[in-house]
Amino acid sequence: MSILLFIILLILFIINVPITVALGLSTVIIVLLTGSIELSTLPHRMFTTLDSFPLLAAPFFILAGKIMEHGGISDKIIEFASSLVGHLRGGLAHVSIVACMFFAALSGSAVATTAAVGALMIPSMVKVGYKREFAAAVQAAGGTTGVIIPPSVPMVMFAVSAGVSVSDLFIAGIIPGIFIGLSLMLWVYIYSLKHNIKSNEKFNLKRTINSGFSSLLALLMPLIILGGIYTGIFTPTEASVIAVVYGFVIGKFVYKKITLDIMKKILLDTVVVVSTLSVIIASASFFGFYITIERLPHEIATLISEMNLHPFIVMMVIILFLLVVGMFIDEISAIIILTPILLPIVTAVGIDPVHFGLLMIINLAIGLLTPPVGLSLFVASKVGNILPEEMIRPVIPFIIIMILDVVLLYLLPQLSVGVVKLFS
Amino acid sequence: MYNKLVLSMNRYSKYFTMTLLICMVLLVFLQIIMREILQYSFSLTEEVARYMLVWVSFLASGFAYQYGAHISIEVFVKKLNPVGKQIIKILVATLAIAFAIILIVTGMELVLDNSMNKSPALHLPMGIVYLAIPIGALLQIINIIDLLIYEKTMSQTEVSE
Repeated sequence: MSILLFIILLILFIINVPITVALGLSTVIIVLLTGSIELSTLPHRMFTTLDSFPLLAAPFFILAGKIMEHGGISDKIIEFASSLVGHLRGGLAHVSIVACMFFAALSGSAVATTAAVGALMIPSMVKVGYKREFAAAVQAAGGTTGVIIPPSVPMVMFAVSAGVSVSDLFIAGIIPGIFIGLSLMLWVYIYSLKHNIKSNEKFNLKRTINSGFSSLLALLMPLIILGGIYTGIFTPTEASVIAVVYGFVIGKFVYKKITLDIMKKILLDTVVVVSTLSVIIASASFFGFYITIERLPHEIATLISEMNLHPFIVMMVIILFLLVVGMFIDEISAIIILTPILLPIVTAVGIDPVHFGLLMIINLAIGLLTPPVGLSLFVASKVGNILPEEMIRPVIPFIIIMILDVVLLYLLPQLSVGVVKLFS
Repeated sequence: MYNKLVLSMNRYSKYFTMTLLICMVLLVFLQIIMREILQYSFSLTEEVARYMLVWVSFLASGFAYQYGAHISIEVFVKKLNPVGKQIIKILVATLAIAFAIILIVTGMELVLDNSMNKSPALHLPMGIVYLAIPIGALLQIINIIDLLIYEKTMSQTEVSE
């Protein structure tokens, strides 16, 4: 019967049924056919899944990300990033990525990161002679650090579905996030050598200090939020609210960019996005409840451990699978649907749940760059004023680098879960 | 006529959910202030904020259809001819309405069964809290029908993550 469930689900996905309806309806059909659980448990399941304090961090981080996007913070961050790495070969492209990484430490979304930095950086890169498609590709790739460097909305989603601590995932994400940012910069450097792109800026310590001061308010924020979580002063959900209030106060009273109209747009956008994610989580919980009752993930897990496969092989198969999934389904939906299925499998071969969560998030973040459904690709193409098809070629090297990153980060758990153990 | 009714209904639900979101922020912020500065914590704020998230989620799920915001996989139907697209559109709407009806029926059962149960901290009747689900499902149906009648495009992307 589980097979039939997946077939129905796949058909509904393919004919463009909203994911929340597809998950809910396919499970309802199977439940009516088998009678294994009462249909009346449906709304109660949906409610109890959303009735969660850790989950509240997701809407608040989405709101905070939007406030930062419009709050004039990105200008300051870009200026600071430019004073740090603008003098390197391929300077402006490095600035884009470093600015994305700083913005990622404020925001939990790849799309907000790509949009906030790209709107300013793609035009300035084009102006000094970079190819437009390369500029947009750099931005799309840099934007993926938005979900890898904490805070991160997908991390909240994974933690809630897997029943692990949001703080642990946030701690595990820091070094891998920086690692990925640097690896993207490595390709930028090689590209600049190949195309003989130089920078006519010189490193100037005074400028770095000055711009560091003028962007101090923005740079302090990750320290407050992440520092507060790591030291246990507040929970991730409380930290997300601090991010909202802090971002609003500096966007409204210091940089004076947030007007009533902008605030209305931010609130409406947030409400819509939060609702569409919530209803998917709600339906997915009923779907997950059914397959757990049927012990499907456990059966697959037992099968795999009986086959005595090396964890490396299991993980490589999962990485490939997630790459394909990421081409068609957006990151958060994929996490919500697949976590209850994949988690028992990886824990059976001895992979730490937090470590796996991090790898899954990076793995699916690559899907933000792959056609046909690459959200970062679309956003970068929109703010960069270029067709997404033209970006595919220049974005491929970044995709390959990120795939290698996932494999490396799997082989080196010290960089992610190792740090968590240091903290506890 | 129907279109106007839907428009004004959506306007109310927009402002209501936006206000709830602001309240959620203020409540959790208040909770931090109370604990850190006044050394006083109460369980009320958490409960209310959580219930508000449920209400925001379901009430906004109706007008979210107007923005084409509900996530789906569009790549495969994009290649169809106009007739095929139309058939798929009606089929998808029918399926979405069917699921919403199931939510209304089972949701109302849950509401009626729990009219006497009280929430732990605030002592709200749980029936009222659960009401978000059937109301949200009803708003979904109203908006799906509106989109079918008035032939609006479902793929407007005014709202982004």
